[in-house]
Amino acid sequence: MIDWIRDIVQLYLSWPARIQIYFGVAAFLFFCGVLFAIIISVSQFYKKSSRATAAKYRDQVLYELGILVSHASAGDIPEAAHQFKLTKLRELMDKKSAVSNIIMAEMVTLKNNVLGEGADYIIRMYIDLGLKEASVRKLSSLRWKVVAQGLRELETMEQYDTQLLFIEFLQHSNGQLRKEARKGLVSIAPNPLFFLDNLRDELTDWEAVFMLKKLKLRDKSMVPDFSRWYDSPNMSVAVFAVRMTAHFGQFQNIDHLRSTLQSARLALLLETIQSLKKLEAYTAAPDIIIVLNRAKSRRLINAALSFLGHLGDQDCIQMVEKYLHHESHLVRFEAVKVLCQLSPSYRFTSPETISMSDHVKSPLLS
Amino acid sequence: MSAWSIVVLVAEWLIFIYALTISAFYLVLAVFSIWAIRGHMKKNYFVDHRELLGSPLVPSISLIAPAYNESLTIIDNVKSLLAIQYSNFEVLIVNDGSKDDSMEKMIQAFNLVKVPFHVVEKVKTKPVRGIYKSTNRAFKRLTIIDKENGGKADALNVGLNVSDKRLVACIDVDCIIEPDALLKMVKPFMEETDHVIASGGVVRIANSCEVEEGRLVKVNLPENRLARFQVLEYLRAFLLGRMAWSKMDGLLLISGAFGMFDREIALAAGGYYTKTVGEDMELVVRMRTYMVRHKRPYKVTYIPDPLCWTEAPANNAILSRQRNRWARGTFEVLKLHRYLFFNPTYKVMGLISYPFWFFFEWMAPFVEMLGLLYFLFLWIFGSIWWLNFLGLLTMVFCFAIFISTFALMAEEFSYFKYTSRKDTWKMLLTILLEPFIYHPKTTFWSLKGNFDLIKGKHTWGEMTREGFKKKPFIQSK
Repeated sequence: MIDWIRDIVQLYLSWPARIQIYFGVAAFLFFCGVLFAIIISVSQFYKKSSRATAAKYRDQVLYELGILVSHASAGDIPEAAHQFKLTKLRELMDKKSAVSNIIMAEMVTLKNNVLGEGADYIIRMYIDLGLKEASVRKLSSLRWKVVAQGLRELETMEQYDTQLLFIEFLQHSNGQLRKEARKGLVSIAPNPLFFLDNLRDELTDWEAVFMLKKLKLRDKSMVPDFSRWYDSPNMSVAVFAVRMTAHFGQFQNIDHLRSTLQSARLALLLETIQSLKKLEAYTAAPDIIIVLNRAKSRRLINAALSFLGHLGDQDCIQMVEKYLHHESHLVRFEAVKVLCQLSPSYRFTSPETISMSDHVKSPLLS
Repeated sequence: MSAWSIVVLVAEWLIFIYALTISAFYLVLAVFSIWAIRGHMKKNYFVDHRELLGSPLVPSISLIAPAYNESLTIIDNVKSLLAIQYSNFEVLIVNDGSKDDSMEKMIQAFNLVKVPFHVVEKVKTKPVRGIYKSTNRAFKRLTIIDKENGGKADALNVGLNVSDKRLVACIDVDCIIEPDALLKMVKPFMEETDHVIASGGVVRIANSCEVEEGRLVKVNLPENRLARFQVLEYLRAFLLGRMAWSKMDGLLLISGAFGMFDREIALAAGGYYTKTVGEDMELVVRMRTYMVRHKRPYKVTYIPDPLCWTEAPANNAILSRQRNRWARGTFEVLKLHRYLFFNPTYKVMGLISYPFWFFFEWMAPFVEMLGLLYFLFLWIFGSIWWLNFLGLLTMVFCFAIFISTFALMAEEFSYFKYTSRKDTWKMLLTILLEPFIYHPKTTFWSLKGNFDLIKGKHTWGEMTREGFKKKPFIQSK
């Protein structure tokens, strides 16, 4: 065997340097390929066995938790039963360190799907099992994914007393953690959107979706007056505030919204018109007409026309007619739509506007 | 040294440098790709996309699916599209002048009636014969457009004209789209602070997978060997290639099987170009150049999640047609946008992506052919240095093994769709065989595609499919 290897080495060394390099590189690449194949096999084996173990423990955890949560939803759980189950779950946690992660994950899932007394009981278990401390410990991890996980857990379990910990992450260098902290604060801070006052990051639509969802879950009295951010230097915050005004039906802000129509910022103007339309602020019609008269942007004209279609009156017809000859077909189409809304018997003359009005009037296309 | 020897020496060095550069490129792409995939997975570890469902803030989307002679499967396909999880979308099926009874079947199945839809030709297309809506409110998201035959790009342009949504997702009607595909695909558009103009997702091979009512219920490795080679090829292309290009901001191609675009930008750029068979790549390149010319910051993103499953050609005849078309499409697009070649105005796209596509995607089959001819020439004249030849061949073969196993490992650590050990062994065998069985074929078909283009061939070529494996019906005792 050794002779055989020695022969190969000698043969290799007898080759010119160039050939040695070729075969050397090839051997290295092949070795890497084999190594990758071994890693894949080991990974598959490990995943399979860890999945089986996780499934085994998950079933046990779910069994213990499920019974308790369903009991809690039905009424009070005797203290003795609670302590018994706690001991059982602690025994499971002592068996394997990964079990606490499984319990945590299952509790988070359950909490997201359960309301009322069942949800309260999950929070109680979370605290009694010492998982809150584990979540807080995660916040000092060097891995941002672990920190984010800790933030999520504290937020899901409604740990209002940890809001100061969240605030620390608002200025974190990692953008992802800043986002997580903001999301968490919407759920647990007494003034859910206070961080918008000094927000420098752009508030994306993605974040807005989650903020809206979390805000809807909070008590109505907790929802702030959004008008305080209409003039925010951060455009995305101003747009978000205007949008939320409509979503939460803050009719008291209509006058403030009307004054926002003076803004030169297109995105804000568009959002304001949309919000006024949703709030059915027919008193804003004169302001919208002013905006329409000075508008150059096609999107702005369309938004203003659409408002007038919903909340305008017969007096607007003459004004809207002008837009039947606009260079953009989208504006012409919107004008036709508005005229059909304001005056169902309006007679269009050109073939294009007749075709457009047929479209608008078709019940299947509305 | 004779002139001939100098020519031979220069040629050998050129080929060597070419091989070295292409290998280095692939290594760099692999590293970038792993970086991008890891970043994506970390970022999305906690994301529950279902939270988007029901939100009034999600952007509206039109799913545009051109259909040509799809009578056999069209009803199931449309139903599967209508069942996609998203709150604000419509499905636009563009019947591209099918000669079969697709239209009649759809009219009957969905209670369709013709509506007076006012279509504005923002992009010039073949005439629209009629637009249909369902009288059944259950199908209110569905719009069927019947038009004269004009090809896939023309059909997609009609979809762009008819849509009034913010985003359009252009898909192949016979693909299986994951139910949460739109939820995942829309994320970059909502999350990025730069203007995202297009986004793509990973396309996977669905041969031998179990499908139930247009839904993929079990992922299997294809039983057909040719399809297995394509699984490997797709893994390399999507997981190692496109993710890396996206990370480097140089992505030029979003698969025609499933891509999402900002409708306004797609229209402003002129929509799909109908005179090429590489319309998917052409649109991305044109949208990007449009943004650069208008000095607007933008982004083209890619997500590594498998969102779309397609049936790969399972025999040589169909695969050859597909590869022939791809080769022609690549050249047409490169020719059309030749101004990009090392043009610093277009940054990564002009300085790296375009030259890469030119030298290593389009030219590679020619270089391989020249290498083969040169080898034959030397063989005939008896001047081959066999040891040198064997050394080079072994090195290239081992590099292919290295890159393919790396792709397989990337798959294992990201989405691990093929979980059985048997599948892994099959894939490893496929890796060993691919350079000898599959690669020469695809090289030949690419070359043929280029020669066909010179001869003036511009057609798509017929693509017949075998159909997906249906989930066996289990009878109760």
